[in-house]
Amino acid sequence: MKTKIIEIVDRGRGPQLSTCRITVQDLVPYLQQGLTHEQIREIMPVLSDDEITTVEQYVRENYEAVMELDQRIRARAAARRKPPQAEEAERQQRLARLDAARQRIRGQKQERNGDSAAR
Amino acid sequence: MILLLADVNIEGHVGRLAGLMQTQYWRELWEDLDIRLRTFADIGLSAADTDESVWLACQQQGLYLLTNNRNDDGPDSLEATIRIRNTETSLPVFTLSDADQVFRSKDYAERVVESLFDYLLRAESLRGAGRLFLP
Repeated sequence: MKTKIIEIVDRGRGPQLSTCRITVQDLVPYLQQGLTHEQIREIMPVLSDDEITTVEQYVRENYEAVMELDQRIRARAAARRKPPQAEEAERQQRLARLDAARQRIRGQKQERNGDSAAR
Repeated sequence: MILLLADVNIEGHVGRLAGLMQTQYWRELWEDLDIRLRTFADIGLSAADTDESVWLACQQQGLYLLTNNRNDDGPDSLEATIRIRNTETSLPVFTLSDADQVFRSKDYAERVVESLFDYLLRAESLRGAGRLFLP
């Protein structure tokens, strides 16, 4: 159950809503894109209008700090990204494993169908 | 059966991914794995619960948690919970490396789907892995 007071608190995950697990940084990319409340609620249906407004107000009042953290988060994600060639090689291996899984599933299906036809 | 739980900040993202995972191209993998989506309410969690509570509920009830990647690494964070509580039999957590892209790039969303299926097909061997990034 949501409490009545909607404010921004810090519980060790960065600034977040007091009423919900959603953090300010969860919303930042969508606020940067200029999404409406309705569009944001399609992505995060749990949010109320008042909660989105509270985050918007926090971002306005703490703009520099919020954007600095946003940059840190983006840099952290970029640092984890592998070089394109390595990423592509991994993807090809993944696709080969998925193809093998498909073949296995089809084989099992055919076996089951063959078994039932033989009965 | 494989149970997936979307964190509340990526419910829309996971809805889109689940839609892709059930298209004709992927359907036989989806059906073979017997994937089911669960909500916080389904498993007795509230949208205000802590990372630790959410992680523990997933471990106790056998769900794979899907999360975002935009939070601080503070003492009550998911990262800290995994560091402290993860064991060699714990279920891994799947984290979208760039959740925003799920809506902005179909190619990215497809790569997430490939990666998630690839992990789920060998899920038992990934126990204890902690956090795995998608893609």
